Amino acid sequence: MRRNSGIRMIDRAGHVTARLKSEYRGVLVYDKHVWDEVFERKCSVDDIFGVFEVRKGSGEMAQQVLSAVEDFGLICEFDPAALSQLISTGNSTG
Amino acid sequence: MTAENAEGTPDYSRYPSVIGIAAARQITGLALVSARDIQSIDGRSYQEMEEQSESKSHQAAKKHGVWYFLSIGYQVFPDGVGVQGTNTLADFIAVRESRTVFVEVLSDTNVNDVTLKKKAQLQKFGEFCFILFAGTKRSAEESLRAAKLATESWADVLYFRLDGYGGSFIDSTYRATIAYQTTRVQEIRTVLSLEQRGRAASVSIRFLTHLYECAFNTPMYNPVPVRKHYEEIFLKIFTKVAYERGEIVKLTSWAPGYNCISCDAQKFRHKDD
Repeated sequence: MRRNSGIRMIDRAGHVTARLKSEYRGVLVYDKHVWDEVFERKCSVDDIFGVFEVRKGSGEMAQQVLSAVEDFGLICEFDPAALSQLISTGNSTG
Repeated sequence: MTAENAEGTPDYSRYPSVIGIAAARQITGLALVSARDIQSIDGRSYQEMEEQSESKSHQAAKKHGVWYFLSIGYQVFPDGVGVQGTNTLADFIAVRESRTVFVEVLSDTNVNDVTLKKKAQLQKFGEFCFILFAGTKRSAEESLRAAKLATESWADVLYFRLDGYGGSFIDSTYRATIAYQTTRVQEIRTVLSLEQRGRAASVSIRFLTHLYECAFNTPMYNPVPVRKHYEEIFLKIFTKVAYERGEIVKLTSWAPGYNCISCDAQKFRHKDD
């Protein structure tokens, strides 16, 4: 699931630079309740993602997220090629 | 919280996860020594000496510490404990699935190299976790804070926050490996995936090492799902990034606190489904 809103990060000019959304990427299953028919997402802990949707300066922000994660004492695995690609494209679109 | 007996010491007899020294020896396979079995010159045991001389805040931190470890699924031997051949004791020991964690409550006056090195001897036999004090002006002094942060680099640290308004509690720290299904050697691992989605870029974090249930000191009778803890961490990271960039975070949800990024699974509709 991807929420439309998320939590917004706003710069000094009032523009949204990034949004934080939680995504649950588990399997969607149909479940019939007494009052309602709903889809339920069966999630394990492996299906939980914290997604930073970055509008401006994505490369820079990706690096800042990386260093913030490490500041929290967590070891972060990532693809350096994807980061350098993001930095190059992020800077041009940012 | 645990009941107390006439002397004011906690009574753990009703808790099956509170074990005796014999059981602790059997589970850990270590030659553990209880502070009750070590006699001082005046005939009192070290445990009695500790109980009679310890401060109220130390006593409270230890009690909350025992409760915290019980709440995240550890078995606890709640008295002073050491290993034969070492001249130091920890305040209690917590064991879980082949993990042995010696836990020591250190008041601010004891956060010094001599005491820390002495206690670190027990790291040869298992993991070590300190419970340090926080929340007062004195415990937040610059030099003390630096010493506490330095301790985090070689041992797990939990903070016992003294709070005169809301009540004292064990504060959550995200880097204490005792709350995760890992050890200090294996570390807490996450994976970051980077992707360009049209004009926006998406930076996603997923935990490879998972937390135990109720990891951030939530009561056993009202457990908080692990996903909420992850969301709390994601939000803390997001806020930290915003702070470093000099930007603000605007919470858009009706729900207070970190709940604003969590939704019930049944309300979800995936764009791709």
